[in-house]
Amino acid sequence: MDKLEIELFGIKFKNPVWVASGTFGYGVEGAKIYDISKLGAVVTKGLSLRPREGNPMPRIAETPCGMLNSIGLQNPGVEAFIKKIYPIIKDIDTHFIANVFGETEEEYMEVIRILEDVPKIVAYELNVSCPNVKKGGVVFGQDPVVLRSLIEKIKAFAKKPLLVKLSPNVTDITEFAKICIEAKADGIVLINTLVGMKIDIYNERPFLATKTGGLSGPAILPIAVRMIWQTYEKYGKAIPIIGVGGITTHIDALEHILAGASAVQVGTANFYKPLSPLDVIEGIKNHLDTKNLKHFKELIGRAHRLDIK
Amino acid sequence: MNFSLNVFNYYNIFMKDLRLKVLRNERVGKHTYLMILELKEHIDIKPGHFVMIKPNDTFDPLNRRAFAIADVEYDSLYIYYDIVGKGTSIMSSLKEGDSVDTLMPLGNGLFEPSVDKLNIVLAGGIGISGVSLFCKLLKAKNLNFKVYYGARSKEHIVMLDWFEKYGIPIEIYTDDGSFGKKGFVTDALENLENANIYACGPTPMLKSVQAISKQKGFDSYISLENPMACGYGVCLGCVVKSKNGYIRTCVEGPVFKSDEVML
Ligand SMILES: Cc1cc2nc3c(=O)[nH]c(=O)nc-3n(C[C@H](O)[C@H](O)[C@H](O)COP(=O)(O)OP(=O)(O)OC[C@H]3O[C@@H](n4cnc5c(N)ncnc54)[C@H](O)[C@@H]3O)c2cc1C
Ligand SMILES: Cc1cc2nc3c(=O)[nH]c(=O)nc-3n(C[C@H](O)[C@H](O)[C@H](O)COP(=O)(O)O)c2cc1C
Ligand code: FES
Repeated sequence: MDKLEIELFGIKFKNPVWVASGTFGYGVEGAKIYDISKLGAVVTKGLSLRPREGNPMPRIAETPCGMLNSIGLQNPGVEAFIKKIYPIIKDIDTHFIANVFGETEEEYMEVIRILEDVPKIVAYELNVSCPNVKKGGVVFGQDPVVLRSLIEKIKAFAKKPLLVKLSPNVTDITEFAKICIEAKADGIVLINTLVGMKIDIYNERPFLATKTGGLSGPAILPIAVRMIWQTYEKYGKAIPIIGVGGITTHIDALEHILAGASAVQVGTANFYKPLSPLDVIEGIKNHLDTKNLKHFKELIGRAHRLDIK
Repeated sequence: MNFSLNVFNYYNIFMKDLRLKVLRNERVGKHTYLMILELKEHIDIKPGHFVMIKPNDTFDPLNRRAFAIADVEYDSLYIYYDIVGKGTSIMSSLKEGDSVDTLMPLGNGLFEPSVDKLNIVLAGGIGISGVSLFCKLLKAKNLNFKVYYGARSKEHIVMLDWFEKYGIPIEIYTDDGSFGKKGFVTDALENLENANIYACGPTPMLKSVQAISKQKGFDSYISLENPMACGYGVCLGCVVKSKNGYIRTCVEGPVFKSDEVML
């Protein structure tokens, strides 16, 4: 068996290196740079029931070793995705995971109902953590009661695995991980962006039109690793964790994996280093060879082994 | 929302992520540098295309920066850039033999000349490097065209040697009258009828081109310079308002028909 192949929630992935939602569109553009069938999976930009126009400009700002964004989940809506974009990607030999967003429980469920019949979409990633929309998203991700209800309602009918992407903008991430497990989610994705802000000192006002935005990139790597660590420590046996946040190289990815991630997603690095996901795949392979390991699975959560409980 | 996805383009891998060697990097104007990069393979570059360049190999600054491709000659790619911030000042310190990561060709390359009408090319500031390749094409096709270039003052003017080398006449405006005519480059449109306009420059200039074109019924094309994170269509950070909602400057543009976008 291939050293990087892994089965998670009943689905076989070529490798544990995926691309993160909102940083790779729907795969169409990346496919013009390299053969994206080499990726373990592509997580789509957030899909909502109706088209969303997104936030006004400026939507992006650079910060030390990171960037802020307030895209506001601009997307053509799930129907337009199926009609116009799906035909282009349907023959690409990798898995697609739909990142799903709604303003109400009903909207989340409706998007998933529509995607149930789309063969190439193998799983859903519930975005309950996007900080850029006033209604909805952030409430679901930061309120234990509504989060539980949402997951339970979707699990009651959805045939495909359900991953929940959690907000790092909470005091105790494990409290939310616990809800995901109890409500029978199939996986946890850690982490989405952290709320941040930049001030334009010349115009003396917030830089982004929405004032605050989501911080991503190398700056957030240690926070993602810490949250994966905490979650794995408590619930590592109960649910697979997908790591995302600050990954550019295989070294960053290995930190996620050793802290407890069963797969990782490359996000912002797709902007400044489009070939980064391929380098991560190669780098992990080489690392396994150097360490004489048979499979990367041996590394999942391995940094915990010396912890005496 | 127009995502302009072309099925036929899909299997065609044509954007390249290349590490290129700096052949030359020198100051050519008050705040402007010329960088020549070594291109070892053929890239199909059209007027209006741009390149993303990573100023250094660290995470600060994080993203690549967008630059118009001013010219391609044999194995040389020409970029003219103004020093405005962190990335461009780092670029100005690069030496011959250093290397930078690049992604290209990017953008729609929509500068299509008219064969029957007069083609008017307008450049403001560093926008001159966004129209030079188009001027080269107009000259090669022997079409009817005129180039107008506006700069703040004499010391800000760049690329005159380049235009001279290709034998392309160029008329200059400066804000302070220190070189050429005193005034704005858009003054050149005043007594004009029945022409196509191609403009690249700061937003106030493009707004003025939009207004004049609407009033006079010109077909005009404007090239935008919205800040970008990815440059190839995946971040949605560079959008511009259009009749169909927000569209991406890096993929649906950076050249737009002037009545298509709201600045
Ligand atoms: C398609 C395209 C083609 C371009 N072609 C050229 C070119 O040929 N030559 C050239 O000199 N510049 C060009 N630009 C602009 C260039 O990309 C920016 O000047 C550059 O990114 C600034 O980087 P920096 O790190 O030095 O500045 P930063 O430190 O990022 O910013 C410094 C200041 O400049 C502003 N700024 C940042 N990016 C832009 C931008 N894209 N447009 C306007 N203001 C900005 C910031 O708000 C800030 O006030 C082009 C931009 C685009 C989108
Ligand atoms: C421009 C941009 C857009 C994003 N859009 C989404 C989105 O639509 N849905 C979502 O769940 N996460 C979105 N994210 C968050 C990323 O998927 C990822 O969780 C986050 O950026 C952290 O990873 P990174 O540091 O590797 O970028 C977006 C991030 C960026 C930078
Ligand atoms: S710069 Fe990322 S979509 Fe245009």
